Amino acid sequence: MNCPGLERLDLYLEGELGRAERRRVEAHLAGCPGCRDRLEERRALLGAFSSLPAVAIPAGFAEAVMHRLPEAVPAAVERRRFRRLAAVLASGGAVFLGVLLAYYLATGRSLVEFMVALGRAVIDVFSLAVPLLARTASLVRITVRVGGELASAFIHGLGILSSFLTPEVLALSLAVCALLSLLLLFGVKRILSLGEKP
Amino acid sequence: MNDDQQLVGLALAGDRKAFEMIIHKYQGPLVGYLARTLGDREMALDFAQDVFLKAYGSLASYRRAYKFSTWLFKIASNHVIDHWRKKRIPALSLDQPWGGEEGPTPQVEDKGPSVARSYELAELRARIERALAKVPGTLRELFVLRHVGGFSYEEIAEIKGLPVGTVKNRVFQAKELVRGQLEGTA
Repeated sequence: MNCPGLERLDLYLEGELGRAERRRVEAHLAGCPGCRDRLEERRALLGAFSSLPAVAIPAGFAEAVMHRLPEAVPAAVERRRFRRLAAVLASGGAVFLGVLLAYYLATGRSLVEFMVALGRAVIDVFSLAVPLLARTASLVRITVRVGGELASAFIHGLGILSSFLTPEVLALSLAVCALLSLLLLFGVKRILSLGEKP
Repeated sequence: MNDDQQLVGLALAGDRKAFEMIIHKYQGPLVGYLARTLGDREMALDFAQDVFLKAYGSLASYRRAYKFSTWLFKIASNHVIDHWRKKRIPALSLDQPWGGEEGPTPQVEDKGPSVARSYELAELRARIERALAKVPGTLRELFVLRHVGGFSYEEIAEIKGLPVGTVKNRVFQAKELVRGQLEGTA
């Protein structure tokens, strides 16, 4: 075997040669003082390369990086949301299946019948609830509008009336109003409590 | 599952302390690689921060089939290459043979007594640092990954997306350029 090149000697030192190639190199080294000397030089050189000192890291470097990090791993946030949604859907599915099973065990009726009955029930509820909700919403809207107009007219009337009255008469009117309100309040209370008397 | 992968799993679950442990583990090797590849410690510290931020941002894309260190240094290497491209720093193409068809060894004369045995270790280290600064960036990066970072040739091939044989050849070229600088013949 010819003298191995420096690259081969390096690979030998680094343990990168295959078994057969390593044996050939070793056999050559055993009989070649020049290559043994070169091998030791390469060993020293590689050792020096690998002994370069670590670069100093300033104190607080890791904390500085942490300070710049976003609150959470961006994709992980989406993943967590997806997992949460999947968990909710899975829970809902499990509850639904549980209800189906309980219905089957309790009534002995087939799941198809249950599904048909459930579908009908849902349609009935919707057919009743939707017109009722629409009417309620309409009634609330009319009540609010009429009430608002009445309150506005009342306040407007009071404003006109107060412009014709002297302060003394106005104070007297307010006192009378307050008295009437109190009487009305107690009167209503008494009427309401009539049934409680023996 | 190794320690790194456990820490990544915890970080993905929202445990920021786990990622801080990753930073503490890799800040030394990463800054060392960046400082020697770029030849600028301050820039290396800034780049290392960017690399950790990028790694955190794409942590969900990390695949456990790969070593975390390889994945992290791949991000770092891409960051360095982007920097060289932006600054239009001439970089040797690692895909092409360097100086000839066989990717030949720089012709450094063997002067007899090894330079490695001619100096005290501290003096030798200082000379290596100076010599390394004169080696083209792309070769220097491979040298640093192998001999300072301690990555295997296979890991470097994965980081750089090159065949293992090419990596071995380019690392050897880098070593010979450093030796040439040390001996004052290159």
